[in-house]
Amino acid sequence: MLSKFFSSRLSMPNGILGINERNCSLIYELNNRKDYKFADDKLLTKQVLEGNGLACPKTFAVIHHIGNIERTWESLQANDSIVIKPAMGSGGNGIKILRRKNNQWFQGKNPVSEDQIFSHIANILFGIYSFGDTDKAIIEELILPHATLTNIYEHGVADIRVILCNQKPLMAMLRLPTSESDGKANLHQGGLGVGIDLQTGKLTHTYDGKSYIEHHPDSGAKIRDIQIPDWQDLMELSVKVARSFPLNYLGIDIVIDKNKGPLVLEVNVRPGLGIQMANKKGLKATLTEFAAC
Amino acid sequence: MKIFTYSLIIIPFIWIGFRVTSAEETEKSIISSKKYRVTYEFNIENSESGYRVTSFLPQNSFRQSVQLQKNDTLSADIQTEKIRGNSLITWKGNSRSDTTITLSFEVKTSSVKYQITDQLAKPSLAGIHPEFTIPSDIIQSTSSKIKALNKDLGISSDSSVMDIIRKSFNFVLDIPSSSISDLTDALTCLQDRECSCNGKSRLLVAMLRHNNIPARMVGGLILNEGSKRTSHAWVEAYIGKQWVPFDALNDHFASLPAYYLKIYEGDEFLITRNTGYQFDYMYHIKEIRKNDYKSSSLLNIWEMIDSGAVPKKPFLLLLLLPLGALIVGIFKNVIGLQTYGVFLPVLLAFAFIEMGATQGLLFFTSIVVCISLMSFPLDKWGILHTPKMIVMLITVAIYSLVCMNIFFKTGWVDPYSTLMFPVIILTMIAEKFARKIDEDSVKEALSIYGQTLLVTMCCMWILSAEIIQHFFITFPEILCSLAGFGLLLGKWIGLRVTEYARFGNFDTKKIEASHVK
Repeated sequence: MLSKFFSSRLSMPNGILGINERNCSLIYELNNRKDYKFADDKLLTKQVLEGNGLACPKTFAVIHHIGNIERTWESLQANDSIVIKPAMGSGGNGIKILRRKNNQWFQGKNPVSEDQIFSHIANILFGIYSFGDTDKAIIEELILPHATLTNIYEHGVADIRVILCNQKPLMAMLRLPTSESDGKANLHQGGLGVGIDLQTGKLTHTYDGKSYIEHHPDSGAKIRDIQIPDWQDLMELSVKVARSFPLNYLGIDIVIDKNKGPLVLEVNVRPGLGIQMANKKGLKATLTEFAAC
Repeated sequence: MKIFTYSLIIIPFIWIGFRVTSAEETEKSIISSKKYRVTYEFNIENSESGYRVTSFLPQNSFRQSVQLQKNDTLSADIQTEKIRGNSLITWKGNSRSDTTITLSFEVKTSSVKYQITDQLAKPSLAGIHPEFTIPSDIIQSTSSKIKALNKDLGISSDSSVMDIIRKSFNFVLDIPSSSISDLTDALTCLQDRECSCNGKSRLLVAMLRHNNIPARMVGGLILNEGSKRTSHAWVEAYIGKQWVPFDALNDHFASLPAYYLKIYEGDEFLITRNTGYQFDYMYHIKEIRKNDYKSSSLLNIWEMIDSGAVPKKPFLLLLLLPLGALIVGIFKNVIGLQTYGVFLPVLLAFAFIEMGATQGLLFFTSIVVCISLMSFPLDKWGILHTPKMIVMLITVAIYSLVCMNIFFKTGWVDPYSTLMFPVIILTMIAEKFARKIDEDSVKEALSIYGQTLLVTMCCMWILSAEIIQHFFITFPEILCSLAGFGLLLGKWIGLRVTEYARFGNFDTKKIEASHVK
């Protein structure tokens, strides 16, 4: 009786989904705890994706042990741009994007020595980005974002988050990096959230974490009504991904490579709630509308 | 699950209700004024030539009631007499063997606070015994030094009573206290600028009498549980037609806490005796609880505490940690505050209670700042995670030791209380703070720090309440209810208060429209 009172009085009015309800009624209800690892461990995610022939960035190497760092690093020297990321990291932490110019590696504009790179990989293996568990370091190809997205802001990699419930897309959002977010697209790190019309793939409202804006704060590009390229492919890909994973409520992060089209970057079992702001719509309202869950 | 949760919550309350109602009449009321049993114990050896020991008995007043217990002194001739409002008791006798004299009484005391207004008129001296207004050998109220001091403090003939008392009191309060056992007169105390409660009281009495406010020394015991040899002296001033207490050692201005027992009036000693034999004495003080609801208790914790087998603190920690955890849970899941570590605020709260809020806050903050500053070079040098934590842990340990030493030297904080801060948790928290700065921003890190402290302060406020501590020790079954509330919280899916702020930003009408359809 008490809980009924609370849920009807406090959470119904505008169809907004809160953290408590997301965890209790969606994540715990629809996903098995033992299946979280397919999302939490990016190496497992990649294995599932590759096993099902779903497009994702090419993996160059996986490092499991400190002793392998140098040997693996030698084998990577054919590439001019790579991404190093922890398999168990969250929130974009521990991801390093490296580019080589004239035999010198750079992170953004800062030169990076091999020692610093080794130390970073060692830190990943020690579990600094995964709450103390030992971890693996994934080294993969760097995506070259589609011109539509680089036209809005040329730095960093924008990605599209799609939230699906029972294999049905509920909401989607484009996450745009800004100078403040340092190339990352995560909302809480200063990135922008842009709502997307699920039917058309057109951009709607842009939310910067505090208020709604119309233009990118760094480039000044107008954001509204831009058409996301390959939208129907992207939607199909997200549904295929959802079907390949034993998770019934999940967020899928997809990037659009200018050569390869939509690629799945990662799968998230606890997708953030900021997407509601970007779409000016509550997830609960959408759930009722779609009768999806 | 629901039935389980609700029964978990309700059954302990029913049980507590049963224990309360089935208790004997005298056990009712969870907390009332304090009640203590006080025992004087005198040990006399080789008193062949005869001993004579005189002490005082406390008397009933509006703030204390005394009940004498049957005394069990052997071979002693006991006399009691009343002299100038005091009740004296004298033991006489002689014995070749050792003699132990004990006298026990139960006292019920309550705190008292007087309101003194600026308009209070100077007391009329009529009807006041002259001994409270004139100087004595050790209360030199007419001395020129007191007069000079009066002038220095800016007290003039037209100062109000409140002004005179306030200035005199503050002056005496600021004199450092010492445990000198020699008799210190008012002027010596003024001159040495360091004196015991007796010296301070004499000086305050002298200053008041100098300004024609009748004043006297009173003495008694501070009722802390345990055994001790020290008695205490403070001052009473006759203002507004009554004797109002002032303790310029422990800063009680026109007030007395409940644990002060007044035993005699005047500049006396609690024990006087003749010589010629070995003498030792001790005051034993024990709090009497009438509210432990012994009947049908599943687990009698008071019994364990009272037996002295286990100190009270670990029990409080064990019993109140769950309550603190529930409070933190409510803050996180219902209000939506973020904290460093899930139960860190509770542990901090315990440490703060021990150390004092201000001191604890300063100590904790300084550690966090120190460790965060350290993490920048450590990160720059690329020190691996676990070794970095080792270095930080060592730093926290050294820092705590240094602080303990400073506290020991200055007496600002009880150095022991520093140990109440779990070093490993301090290190982890400081590291999380530093990482938050690195990954997010200083602003965000400080914001979470502030929220952590807010929750800590709330926990501290609730957990330090005596009524809650007593309740949990008396009724430990309440822990089951807490578990039930925890389960209830785990199924609560409403929006967190902070989410209203987060999502309250966009046009709710539009959303409602799309929702209703």
